[in-house]
Amino acid sequence: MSTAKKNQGGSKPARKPALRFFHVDSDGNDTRPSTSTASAAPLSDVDILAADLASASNARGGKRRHEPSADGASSSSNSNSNNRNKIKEDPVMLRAAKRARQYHRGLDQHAQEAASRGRPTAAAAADSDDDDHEDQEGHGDQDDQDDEDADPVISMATKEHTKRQQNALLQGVIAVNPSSAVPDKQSKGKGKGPSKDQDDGQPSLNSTVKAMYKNVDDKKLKARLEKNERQMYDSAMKAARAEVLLPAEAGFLEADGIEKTYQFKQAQIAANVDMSSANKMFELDLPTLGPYRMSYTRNGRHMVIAGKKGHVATFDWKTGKLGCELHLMETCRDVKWLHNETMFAVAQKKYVYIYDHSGTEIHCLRKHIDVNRLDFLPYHFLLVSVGNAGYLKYQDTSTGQLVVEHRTKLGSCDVMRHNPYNAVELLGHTNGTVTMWSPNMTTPLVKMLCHRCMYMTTAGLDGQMKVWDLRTYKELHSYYTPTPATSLDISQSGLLAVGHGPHIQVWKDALATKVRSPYMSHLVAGSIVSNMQFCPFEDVLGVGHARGISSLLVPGAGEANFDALEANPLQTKKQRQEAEVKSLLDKLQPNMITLDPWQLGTLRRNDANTQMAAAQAAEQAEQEAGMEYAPRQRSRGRSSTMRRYIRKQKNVMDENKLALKTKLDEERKARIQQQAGPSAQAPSKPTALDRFSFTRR
Amino acid sequence: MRVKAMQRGAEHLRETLSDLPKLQRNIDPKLHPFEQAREYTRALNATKLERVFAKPFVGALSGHTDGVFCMAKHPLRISSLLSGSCDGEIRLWNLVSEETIRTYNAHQGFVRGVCISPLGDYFISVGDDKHIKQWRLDYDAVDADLPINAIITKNSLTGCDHHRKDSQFATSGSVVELWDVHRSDPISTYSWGADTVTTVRFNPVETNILATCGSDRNIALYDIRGNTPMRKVILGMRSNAIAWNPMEAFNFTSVRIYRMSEGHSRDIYHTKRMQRIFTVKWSSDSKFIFCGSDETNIRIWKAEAAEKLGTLLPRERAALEYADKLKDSFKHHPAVKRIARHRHVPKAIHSAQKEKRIMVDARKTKEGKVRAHSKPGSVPFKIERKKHIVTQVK
Repeated sequence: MSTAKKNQGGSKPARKPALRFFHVDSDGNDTRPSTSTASAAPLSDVDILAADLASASNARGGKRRHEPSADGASSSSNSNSNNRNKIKEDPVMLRAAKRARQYHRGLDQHAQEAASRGRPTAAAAADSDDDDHEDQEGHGDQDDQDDEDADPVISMATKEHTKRQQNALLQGVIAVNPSSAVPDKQSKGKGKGPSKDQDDGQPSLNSTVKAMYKNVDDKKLKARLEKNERQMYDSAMKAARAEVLLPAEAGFLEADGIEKTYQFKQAQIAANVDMSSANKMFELDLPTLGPYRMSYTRNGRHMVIAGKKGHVATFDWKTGKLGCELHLMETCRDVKWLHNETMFAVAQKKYVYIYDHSGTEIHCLRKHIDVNRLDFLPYHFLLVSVGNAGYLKYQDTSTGQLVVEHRTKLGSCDVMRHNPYNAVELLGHTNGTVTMWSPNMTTPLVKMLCHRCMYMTTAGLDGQMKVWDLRTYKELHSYYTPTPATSLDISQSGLLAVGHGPHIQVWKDALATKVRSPYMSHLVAGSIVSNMQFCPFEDVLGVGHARGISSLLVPGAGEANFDALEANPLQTKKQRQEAEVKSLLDKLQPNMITLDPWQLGTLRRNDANTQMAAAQAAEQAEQEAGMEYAPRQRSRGRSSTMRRYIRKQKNVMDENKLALKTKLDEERKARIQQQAGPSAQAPSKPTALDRFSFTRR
Repeated sequence: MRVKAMQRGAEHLRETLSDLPKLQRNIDPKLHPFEQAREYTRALNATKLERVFAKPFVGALSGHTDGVFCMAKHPLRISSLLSGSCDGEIRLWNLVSEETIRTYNAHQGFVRGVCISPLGDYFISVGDDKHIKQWRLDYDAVDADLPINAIITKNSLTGCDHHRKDSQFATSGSVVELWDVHRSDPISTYSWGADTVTTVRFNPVETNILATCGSDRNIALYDIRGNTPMRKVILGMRSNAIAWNPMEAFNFTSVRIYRMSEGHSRDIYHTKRMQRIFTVKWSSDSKFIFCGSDETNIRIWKAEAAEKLGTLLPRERAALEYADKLKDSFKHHPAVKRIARHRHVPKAIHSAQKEKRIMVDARKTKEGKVRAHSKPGSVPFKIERKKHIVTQVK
């Protein structure tokens, strides 16, 4: 973190800190986080990113910490052009490797073999050709950090951080990465599959599969399981092979010589790309009715913008064809497309309204009052809103029902994003906490946040942007923003856009690794960025700011190869209609939103053995914690008002009491130490005189 | 500066406007979130739709004036069916037009069994009048109403079956007799014990093996090349019918379809007006099931209740296959299972089932208690399929 600071002229004294935005990356792990680390300062933005598979799997878990090998370094330094080319040399193998790693969520040894076979190309490239100190350094930094973070040290660090930020202001934004989605379940270590390196021994698929189910008694079941296993492996490999057939290639931006990619201006980029791409850049100069917020449809074809003062417009941004334009004459706080371009929702001064593509008001949602942020879960058809009263409301847009409303009890909220991996809503609050919600529970699921999320980035009013490992709740590395960040978004390919003041920075590989410099930067002169969104399936970043809308070209931001049955940028009207019907048929029920979206396929394990094991574990944990059950002595009839009051005062912990407590603790420790004498502290080294002593050897 | 922005070219666009729009697929899992939840939803919908479309009844063949007791399907023509009724009449049916082609006044009293020769040129019928009659199965012949041959036996007959290849057939009654169509005396006679044999069936693969059901709860196997019976199994309950493969079964006033390897029936068909069923047959293309019942009708059912009849377009077929696969992969999920297993049955069957369930449960409870209070291993667990076998005799 220190490097970053220095690098970017961060020798300024740290200002009063406050969390400004928040970024969370998803990956599979099991640790239970506590809310305390996140809580501190108000949040201004949260984003969830699933790093691309290669880096995710490398950066996964503690493994990476202990073995910062060529493997880890290589994939993390993908930004390096040499490296990229090397990987390109063998795209099939690399994809096969990625795919195989996903295969059966980490149960298969062969998948790992394939993965490791694919990786060395990249690794070698990184090691041999890589003079780039940045990556190495970044990596080193991280290792230090990790070691330091070992256990209690880091929790201290977190506490410090929390303390520093306690009285800061909160203001937040959340963004969640769409690409993040696929966690590498290998890290889950289900105990079955091999989790260590298997580059050496290479047993056949058959024997691996056989070994996997050797404990299954039922022969029929065993045969079926083995067959399934083989089929899954085959399909994973076939899928990887089929990927060479994908037509489109992702964009890129590379610097030659002493150039830096972040120095390139949009105009320069426009001069160097083809005309159709250059046409994707545009500026809407709307100085009077801003600041603007904007939203793209799921296929990236249409854009809706809403100015704070009531100017709403939709258009096909590539052709520039206007859909509708409304002057609502009242405050518009947020705008969001629903499942396709036929409907959008606007959070207005009092209620939320839904308009159709021609701008006709079709619904007024009177239950959603004073809403700050809107969100839409496309697979569940849920419109989610949160506002000044701190109520999180889910409205089913296919049936019109208000599914549920949760009282967050954390005050006004204007930071909301959902995790595209599991559709859990993230809220950033003014006290610095991030809470995760599903419609099924009236309390936040925060404690399970880490379950899928690996990285969390926070940026505060102190100009720090920190990356946290959510499994341990330790800080990994930090970045520096000259002014507090106000908005965030993550692209399908994992680029992170940060907007602070009139500046926009785009970072590449910034979460899994520590990067020294941004990938691109842009200045919206004379304005302030209020909202940003990467356009799906395009190399475009849409920016809503105080003076209108900008569309910037960010090569390498979008997913090149779309799936026409999910979101189709080249959709015809007929296809849109069909897709609407299909998606309604496949609509997921609100109660299916869980932290682990794979939960449906798991076995319910509540047999006697499991229960017993759980009970024993709980008992053991209790013993370790030194808590023994002692029945409370209740005396009857002594509960007068006065006594009750006095009794309650016993539990009130104020500063004096805390100080007293620590003092007593210390005294007790000292006493114990003294009693034990100096010998108890540490066995001294053997000396020559020991041979005369019979008491102690 | 080296820069390239992503662009989509002609490879995504159709060549002419008359082409279908191109559908680019990318199976990368990160583009398909909630994979499992969505597949589960699809499986649930597919299961529900299956129940919605489960309309198995196709048609009824009416014409008999008394209960239909036995049926035989033509070995070569899918659209032909023979049925014999309780008033001694045999009808030859055209299944496509659902019409009678020919009527034979065959027997006095019940027609107990009908079987068609492997080449489909004649059929044999046996009846309560102790006659075995051989008929010409000719669709155009004028005088086909009269039997080619008639044999009078000493005992009453309960069924017959034709050899799969040779010109031999077997009849059951108080004894099992093997006949040749060219001779008027039985080639051989088999008996094992004094009980009546109710059914006789030739094995379609091992063509010289016969299986019979007897009224003393036995199932016996005979080899017609030798002169002695091979093996006899005595079961807990008396078997009414036997079929080599596929399995056939029937129950009161409903048809139950079983899978070979599963203990529970896959489906149950019934209608309000259907009375006791005497005979059930699969069609040769295994798409339909025929059942002949007491109230003179032969009913045609679809073998798969929700199957769509007629030609399927390729996309339709792919969608159905996908749905089938989904249903299969999620079949153990409680919500899917509940819908897939739910059948509405006639009240009589429903209450009988409940009663039976109580009895079975009570028996199980008792057995469990006995086991708990006995020496370990003295009350062994018995496999459900083997429970019903009392003894085996060789």
